[in-house]
Parts: sequence; C-alpha cells; structure tokens
Amino acid sequence: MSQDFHATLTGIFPRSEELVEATRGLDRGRVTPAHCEAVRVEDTRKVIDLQRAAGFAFHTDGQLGWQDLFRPLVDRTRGLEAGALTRWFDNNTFYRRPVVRGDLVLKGGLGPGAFRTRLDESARWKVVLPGPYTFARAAEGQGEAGLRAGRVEAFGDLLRGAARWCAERGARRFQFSEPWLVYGQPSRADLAAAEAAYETITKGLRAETLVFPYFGDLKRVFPAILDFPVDAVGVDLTATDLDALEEHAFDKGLVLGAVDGRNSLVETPQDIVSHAREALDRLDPDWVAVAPSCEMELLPRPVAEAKVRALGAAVALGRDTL
Amino acid sequence: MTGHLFPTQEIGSLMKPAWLVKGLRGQPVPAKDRADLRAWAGRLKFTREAERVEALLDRPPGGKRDVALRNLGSVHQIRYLEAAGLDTVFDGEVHRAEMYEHPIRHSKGFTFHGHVRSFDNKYYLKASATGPARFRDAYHLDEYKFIAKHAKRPVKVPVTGPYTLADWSFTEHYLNKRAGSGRSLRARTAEARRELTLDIAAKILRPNIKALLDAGAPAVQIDEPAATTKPGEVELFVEAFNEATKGLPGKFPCHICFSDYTLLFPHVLEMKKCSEWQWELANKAASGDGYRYLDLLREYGDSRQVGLGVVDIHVDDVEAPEVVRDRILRASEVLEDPRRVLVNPDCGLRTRSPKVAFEKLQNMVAGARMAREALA
Repeated sequence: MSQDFHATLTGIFPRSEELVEATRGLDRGRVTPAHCEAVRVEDTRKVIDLQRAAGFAFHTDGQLGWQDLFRPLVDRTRGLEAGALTRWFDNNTFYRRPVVRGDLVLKGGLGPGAFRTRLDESARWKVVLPGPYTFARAAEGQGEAGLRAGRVEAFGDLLRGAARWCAERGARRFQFSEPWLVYGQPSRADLAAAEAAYETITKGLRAETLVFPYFGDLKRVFPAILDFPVDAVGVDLTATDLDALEEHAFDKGLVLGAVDGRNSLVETPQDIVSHAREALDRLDPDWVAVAPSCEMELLPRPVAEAKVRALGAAVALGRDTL
Repeated sequence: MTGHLFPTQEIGSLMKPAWLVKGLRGQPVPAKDRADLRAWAGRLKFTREAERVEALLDRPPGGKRDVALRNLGSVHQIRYLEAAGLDTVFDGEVHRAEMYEHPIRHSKGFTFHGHVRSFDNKYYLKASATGPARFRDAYHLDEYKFIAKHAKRPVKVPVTGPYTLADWSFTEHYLNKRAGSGRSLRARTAEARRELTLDIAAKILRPNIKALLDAGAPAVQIDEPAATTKPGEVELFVEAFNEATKGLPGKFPCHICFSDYTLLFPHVLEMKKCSEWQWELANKAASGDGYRYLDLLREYGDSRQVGLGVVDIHVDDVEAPEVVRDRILRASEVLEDPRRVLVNPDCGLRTRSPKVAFEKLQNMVAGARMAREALA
C-alpha cells in the first residue's frame, strides 16, 4: 500500500459539554464572545490531542466553530446567504440552506477560526469541505433543478479557491463530503458535472484529495466515481455492502466508514480491522483507511471520543495483522 | 365530544408563562411578569389561583412549592384554551420537559450520553437504547388525571409515537446483539432500528396508552413528527403505529407535522386504528397551495377525518376568521363531507407569545363558527 493503514476523521466533531454551555450562554447573553472563543480554542486543542493520542496520521481541528458544513463558506462568499433551516438528510439535525444571490466570489479566504492550523504547527492537517455537487444541491430551491449543472460548476470554482486558501495554511489532505451523490440516484449529467467540478478543484492542488459520499449506497455512483480525479473514495458501510462493489478494480485509496457515526455503540478494534480486511480482500484498493461513516457531530461527545480511541486501537492492531 | 360541525382542538404544547418558567427555575419574577399574570387572570377567571401563584412565588423554590406552582400553571393553561373557545383542550404540556426526553426518562433501557446539536448553537439530549426498551411507569397518567379533574371541556392527551421515539434514539443494544451475526453492517443497522421501534411500540407505548384509556381518557393523540424522515421506513412507522394500538379499544388520531405527506401513501392505508390525520397545512399554504395535500386522501380512498391545520405556528401574523372559514369550507368540499373536518393549529403554539397564540386560537374558533353558519 502506498499509504500505511491509518485512521481519519470525516467531518465536524461534536462539541464538549463545556462548549455546548458556552455557545448556549453566548446566544442568551450570559457569556462574552471572548469567553466562548477561549472555550472553543481549548476544546479544539482537546480534539487535536485526542487524534494524536490515537495515532492518527492526519489531524482535523474538529471544525468546532462551523455551524454546519456550508456556513463558513457561505458567510465568506459574496453571492451566498444562509437561508431557512433545512433537515440534514434523514437526521434530526438541521443546516441553513445556502441561498444563491449572485456570482459566487470568496472574500479573501475562509476567515479566522475556520481552520486552526496554528494550534499545532507539527500536525499533518486534513480539511473537510463540502463537495461541489452536495453544495449545489443544498443550495437548490424549488424549481431550480434546471440550474444544477451551472451551479455545480460555480461551486467547483468557489471550492477551488477555498482549497487553495487552506493548502497555503498547511492542509495536506482534503475531504470533499458528498452525501447528495448517494442519497438518491444522480443522473449521468449530474455525475458528469460533478466530475468536471473536481477537475477544477484538484488541478494543481498540492494535497491528497478524497471524495466521501455517505448516508447512502456507494453502488449508486459506482464505478463512475472511480473516474473522478481524486486520490481516494470514501464509503459509508452502514449503507453499502462491499460485495456489490467488487466487480471493478478499485484503483484508488479507500476510506472505509466502518465506525457508525450515527450509533452510540462503540465498535471494537477487531470489528474495525475485520471490515478493513474484507475491503482489502474484496476490492484490493491502493490503500485503506478506517473512519467514521459520516461526520461525528451526530453523536454525543463522549461516544465520539470513545470511537476515536477505537479507531486508533484498530490501526495499531491492523498494522500488525493486515 | 361536541355535537356541532368543525369542532376545534389544540394539538400540542404552548409557551409556558414567564412567571412559571422563572418560578420553577428559582429565579426572581419581576413586576412585569407578575403584572402579566394578573392581567391574564382576569381574562381567564383565574384570579383566586393567581393570588396563590403570587404567594408561592414569594416562597423559596423546591419540593411541594414547585409541585403546587406547576399544577397552577397547568390550570392556567387549561383556562387559557377554554377561554379561547376550544371544544377539546389539554394544558399545553406544562408537566412535560419536552416530547422526547420525558417519555424516555420514564422508560427502562435508555441512557443519556450527552448533547447532540440540532442546529447552530441549539442542542438536545439524545438517548441510547442500552438495554431492551421497556415500560417503567405510565408517564402521562398523573398528568391526565390532574387535567381531567380541572378541565371543563373534553380532554385529548398527546403522546409521542413509537417511530419518533425510536428515530430520535440510538439503537446501541439492538445493534450490539447482532455483532458476529455475519450479516453486513447495513443489514444489522436496519434490523436494529426495526426491533427497537417495535419494542417501543409494544412494550412502552401500548401500556402507556392503555393506562390512559383505563383511566377514562376520551382521546389519545399519537404524535409522529419523524414519520417521513426516512422515506424508506414509512412502512415501519405504520407497523409501529399498529403495534402500539393493537388490542386497544377505539381509534386514535395521528399528528404528523412538517413532513412530506406524499410519502405516507399508500402505506398508511394499513393503519386501521387511525381515526384522524392532523396535518400542518397552513404553513405549507404560505409557500404554495398547502391544502392540495387533502387531494391525497381522495386519490387513495382514505376516508378518515382530518384535523385541519388552519393556523401557522411559525408567524405572528394572525389569520383572519374569514381565512380560517375558507380553509375549512375547502376541506369540506374536497373531503365531500363536512363531518370529516376538525379544526386545529398546525402544531403546538409554543413558539408564539401567549398574546399572539391566544388571538390565533380565538380567530380559529371564530372561523369554525363562520364555516358552520355558511353551511347552515
């Protein structure tokens, strides 16, 4: 394998009870923004330390200031506004629908606090951004399906700028979260638009890239997704059976969503390694990483922490046995 | 029940009065909130009770004082709904923290691990089923008895449905049981959800509903806001409703709000013990023709009654009685029988101020009266 067997986080991490209280207090005028920020920085350090202790190769900052997958980008983009609360797929969690008001122009990067690399200069940073197709679908209002291809292209341009801004600040791996690719069945035109957007985003980007569709069966976009110009593809094992994928050569890295990001049952390291072994046997990818099946913010913090430790233990076990 | 057409009913929770919230938190209750209490007391014939509230507010919080204060809050909300003119009342769910945590805390098999974000800086406690989901106590029984004793109108008790309780919980124990089964994680995940949902239906909801019926509750409303959250599981929602009501006498209204009603059909035709759909249609009317969803009933030959949502709970604009009347008359026409139409807000009015909610309810009652006159 060109990469060692490793573990990685896949999105926004849950906030600690201290940060929950601080952010609630901020909304209710009980604490100052400075106090809330101090709690957030301290919590971010804990998330980074948690990954280091578990032996993760790449670290995320947990995105503890992100109000949803789109918000920092929406707030920093001329031509976008945060709109109505909208259900996040089939979860009891909501995001603010990005509303397109004009041409999309990133106003000088993601802004302070969106990507906290300065907290640890020695880390290899991973950044999780929305994928262009999911961003476009999230922004799509009633009667706007006809605008989709152009929107995917426009969000691809926007994300190209955002990714470069992060790369300049130390990002070495990018995950583009694409639940919309597999939540329903995308058309060929949709897949072609998404693939073109990834050409735009990844061309000349000096970092590894991963597209991660989740909350749905990867079979819906398989094997077409293997043509996307990215280094790795993620799969949500809570929604995908690997045996349905094994007819095609998996000539990329594979990020295996083997830890259920929507269930409080903490997997054993043996369980996680057995999923990795099955993936290697069935798909023979360039390399395998193990990960949560989606962003972990759908779990309470103590559960998410236990799952990170389980991932770390699985990597230690798997390096010896795989 | 009432003998006239278009009976009016409440659906869910109301905003708790400020004096009650602060009083139960042990916070000082400022003069403004006390003035509000007195002003409403006059309108609600709650004057003597209001004097007792003020005396309680002056006592240290805790114990019997808090119980007495909450009970007076309950009576206040019953009088509020009666004064608005509703035919069927409850108490705005004064006795409950909210619709999920209360039943889960009063059942066996669940553990709370911490908060999960709902959106922005808003969070909720989400429980894990860490053991078999089982009945612990009849968690709405004392509440019902209290309200029935004090209400001067018929009472309808809302209960959170089994599918929603399951969907908002983690299936931990049920997934763990399947470890080592050789089945794929996807298959185990689906099986665990189904078993938890049906356990909640049979082992928690059914005995709770039975306890209410045994105590004389004339109507139990099953709330299922999550019914269409997972389109592939609408059949499971139906199965859970049937399991929760199996063997129980009578039929039950089912309240589903902020959902895609087209996903319900045809599966819900199998809900033989569901007497009435209570749908949020006024909100849908704000962004299109919300009342077109009634056509689904005609299309699928569903002859149940409809608790028609005629009041939008998300806006302060108070619907005119004429708007309410027209919505009722249209529903009567589509359903081809005015006796099938009951009248209610889209959902609980807890996000509206007491003043706005009261005006909306008054206009709802007036609109129903006008609709009756139009058909007289």
